[in-house]
Amino acid sequence: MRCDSVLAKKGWFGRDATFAFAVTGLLLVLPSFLLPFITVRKLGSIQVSFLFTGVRTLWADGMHGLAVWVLLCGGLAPMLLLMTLVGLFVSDWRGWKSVHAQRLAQAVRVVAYWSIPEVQVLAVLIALAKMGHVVQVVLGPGFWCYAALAMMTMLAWRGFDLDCLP
Amino acid sequence: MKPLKSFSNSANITLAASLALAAAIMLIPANMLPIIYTQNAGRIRTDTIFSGIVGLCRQGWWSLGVIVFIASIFIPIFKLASLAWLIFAARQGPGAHARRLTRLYVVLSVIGRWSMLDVFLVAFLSGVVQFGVFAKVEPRSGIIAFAAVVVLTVLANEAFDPRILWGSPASNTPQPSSK
Repeated sequence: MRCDSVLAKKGWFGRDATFAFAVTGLLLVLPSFLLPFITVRKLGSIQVSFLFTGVRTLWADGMHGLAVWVLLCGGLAPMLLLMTLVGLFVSDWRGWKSVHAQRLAQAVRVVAYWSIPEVQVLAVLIALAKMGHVVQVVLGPGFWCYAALAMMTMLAWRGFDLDCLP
Repeated sequence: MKPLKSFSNSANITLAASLALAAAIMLIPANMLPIIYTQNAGRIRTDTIFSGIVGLCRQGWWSLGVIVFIASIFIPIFKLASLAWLIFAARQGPGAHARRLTRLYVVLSVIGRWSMLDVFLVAFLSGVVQFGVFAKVEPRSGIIAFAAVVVLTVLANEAFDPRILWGSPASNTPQPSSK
């Protein structure tokens, strides 16, 4: 809305639904980071992996920058994005017309750009296909939480209307 | 309400062009160097981006091979070629194709992030498949070059201001340090 005329309709859902998506996503952060992501079997030995096992391996192999980057894009950015969205909603309800909220709204665009959990979900699915003939794979609860988190992040960000905020 | 970005024409183009050039240079090691090392039951292989895609297709996963091809090879090259075109068009000054070029710019900003697919793929595989001598996956240096390509093309895209394609009164008058 600019000068009382609709320039472009933003937001697929109502505000309440968007808020609900953001909160649900935030609740899913901890289980998806901490629950077993995937269980792999090979010749009787079992290995349980978590979301950030890959990051740790990259770090151990000396690829520090890449490890941090994967951690940011796949884990920290979605979490920060959801936290910021919830924060913006709360500050809007409380009627805080602060400078901070405006600055947050600016920062959230950058964070949102690099928050790509949906890309990681696709990568995991392709990895499963690739591993299929080498090892036996069982998906753990962490994966499902993470996939739901990716979904919630996308819905919350799509439904969010930054221009409505202070 | 979001304040509009400051409009400075030539500096943005130069920045975008140099970032795109850097990305184009990094594209060479990204595609030539191996990105992943696989060891399974005594068989050892190192894969580049392209041979990884071929491997997926050999396993019968044609659709997945196509997805990885689009994300890892098609999108980076398409992005760089389009950026070069946009920069060239911007240097020519505002033209008749401004609408179409702006649409291209929006497409580029949306698809860029999907190129991270291969980086996630290598990170995940090397984390999960760790069975010592029986089966092991390790990352190789090509993936760093590839991640650099992705980040550089996105930065180049961000540095480019599509408003320059339309021309504006501001672009004709010199602006005293508008930052």
